[in-house]
Amino acid sequence: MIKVPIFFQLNKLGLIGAQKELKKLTNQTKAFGITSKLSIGAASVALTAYAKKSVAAAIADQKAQATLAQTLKNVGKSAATPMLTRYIDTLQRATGVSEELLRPAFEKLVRATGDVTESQRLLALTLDISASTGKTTEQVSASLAKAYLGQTQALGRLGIGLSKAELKTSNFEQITAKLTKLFEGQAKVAANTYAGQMAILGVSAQEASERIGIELINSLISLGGQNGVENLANQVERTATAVSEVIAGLTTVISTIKKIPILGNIGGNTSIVGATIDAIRGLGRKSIAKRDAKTDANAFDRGLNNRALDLATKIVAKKKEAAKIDKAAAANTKLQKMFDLDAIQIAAALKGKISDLDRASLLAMQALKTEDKNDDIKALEDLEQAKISADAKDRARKIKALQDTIAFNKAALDDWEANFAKMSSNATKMLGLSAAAYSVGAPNSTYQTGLQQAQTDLFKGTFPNMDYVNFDLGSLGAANAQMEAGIAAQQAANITVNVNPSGSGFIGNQDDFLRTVQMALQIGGRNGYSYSGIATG
Amino acid sequence: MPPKLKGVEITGYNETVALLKKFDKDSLKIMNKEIYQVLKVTQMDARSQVPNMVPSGLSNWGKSSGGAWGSREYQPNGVRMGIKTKIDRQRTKGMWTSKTAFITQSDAAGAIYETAGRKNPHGHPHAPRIKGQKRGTSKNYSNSNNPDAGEWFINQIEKQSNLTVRGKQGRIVTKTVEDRAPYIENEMREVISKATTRLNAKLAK
Repeated sequence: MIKVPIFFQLNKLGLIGAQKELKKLTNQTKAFGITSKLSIGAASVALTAYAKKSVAAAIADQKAQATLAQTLKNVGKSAATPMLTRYIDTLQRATGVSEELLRPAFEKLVRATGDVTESQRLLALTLDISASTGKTTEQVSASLAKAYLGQTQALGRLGIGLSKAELKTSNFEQITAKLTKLFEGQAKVAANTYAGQMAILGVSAQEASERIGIELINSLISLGGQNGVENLANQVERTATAVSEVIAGLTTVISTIKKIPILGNIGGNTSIVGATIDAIRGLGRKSIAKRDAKTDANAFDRGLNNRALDLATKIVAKKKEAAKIDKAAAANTKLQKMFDLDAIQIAAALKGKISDLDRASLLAMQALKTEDKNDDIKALEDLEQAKISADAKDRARKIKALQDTIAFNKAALDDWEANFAKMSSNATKMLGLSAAAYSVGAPNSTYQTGLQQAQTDLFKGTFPNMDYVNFDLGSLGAANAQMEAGIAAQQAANITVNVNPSGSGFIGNQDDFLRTVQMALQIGGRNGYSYSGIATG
Repeated sequence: MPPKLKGVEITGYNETVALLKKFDKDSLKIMNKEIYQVLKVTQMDARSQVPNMVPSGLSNWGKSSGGAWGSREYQPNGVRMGIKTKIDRQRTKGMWTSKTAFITQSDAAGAIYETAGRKNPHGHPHAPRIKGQKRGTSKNYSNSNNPDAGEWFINQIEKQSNLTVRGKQGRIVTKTVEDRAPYIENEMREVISKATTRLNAKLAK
């Protein structure tokens, strides 16, 4: 697509911004009175404008004061209002940053932190950052307030040397510590520059302007009489008329007086008119001093300050009460420490017979209970040393136990080996005596001799003495002979044998046997078997 | 120094619109209608300069066909209707922003007719194609088997329009704006002046 502009109008944002700044600078320069060659008419116009500006400044100042006071009241720090007024006043004179900027900045910080001391610290940091980076006080304070509440993005956008990762991983204390390190003393350096000095002068001019504005307002209120400013407009007009008439009349009177030689120069060089003016100025000074002594700086914050004073008195009383309670609590704590059961138990345990490690542990616990941090460090070192010693001892004990086990096993092995040797020896002996042992029960042998030989030679010293068994070898021999005789008698007697050959049925008597034999012979005959020799197959 | 923008620079338009929005919305409507007329006249002027015939020797450009040129065939009505106006923002480097009235050409063939030969008066530089090798992929070089076609195309358009264009120049839309610039400036000044007069008259009541 082809796109060709027909007509356009530039929206010169950058240029317009620059023009505005230039205009502001010009106005500031004029405020310092640098504008040259003011004619009398222009001076009167400038004076009127200055008065107007003074009144506006006084009103703005009072409004800012009231806003800050309300904020402090909302966060429960209204007692600090007078102190903060002085603090901001001092700060603006030291740094050249106007209270119009300082108050909103401080307000933001105190609203976020709820703590006056912390806010003062952050305000100082704000001024340092602002002086170094050129960002406005309001921007920096708003970013710090957000960061205090956990939103560090705004702080990152200021481009003050903190990366996103740092902002995410660090807490607010760490961030402010780094910022303090980065920007420390910048506000002071800036205040010492020409621009800073000019700014300080500007602050003074502004303060003067406000002061004049306050007096103008007070005077106007006074002119309003009982009804205040309600009928002021009419009164001002009437007063103006009256003043013009009086001035005209006074001019005539003065010119007339000057013509009289005596009255024209009373008291040497001082004229009556001069003396009168001096007297009026003196009265004015006294009036102002009296009002200042009786009340606060201006009419607007008079009531506010009185209320703050009352509140401060109440707070002081409450603080005294709180201090009493704290004192009682401190005594209670001290008493508790005196009867600290843990401490008593530790002390008792230390008196007993305990290991070095336990002693070091108890001493460390005791050190923890004291306020002093040095003994904590020493106790920690001792405890570590005791742990190392205990570990070494434990290792040595284990090694010794292992060595003991090895020695025990070795002894057991030696013992077994000795027994084995003995058994081998006995086995040899046993093998050597086997003929005698086997002779027991052999023909023409003597049982008693064999057994006795076995007892004496085979297991001598190995088996226990078995004499207590008391075998009656004579009876045993007789029984044996009897048994053999019985066997012989049986062999001599007829023996009946029952046969149950397969296929022939049960042979239970002689007839059955004969029949079976006969049948066998018949079968053999039929089959032609041989009856000589032993049958096979 | 601000960058030089194309088109006619006018002053007081934004301020007048802002004031009319605030104090006299009826006058704002009237002023917008008058501005629309200025744009419409410019648009019609541009449309009237679109040739009714395809340049001689390029008759195939005006015939319906498929392929790469299917959507770029020269249809006089299409080219005319592709010329439109719009009001948008124009932004350049820095903080300089502007509310701008544009004239646009959204038809592909119209855009080709507008700009052909601005960058390469003799067509794309030709990179001879080696036999047996693939075509090159660079758009800065032509691998065409007919290397003189581009130059022929441009020449035929130049002959028809009697215009040789270079850089940011153009044959229809751009030329119309350049030709009408003094008239546009006068007309816009008159429109703004009339609106201001109406506003003053209303405020004076």
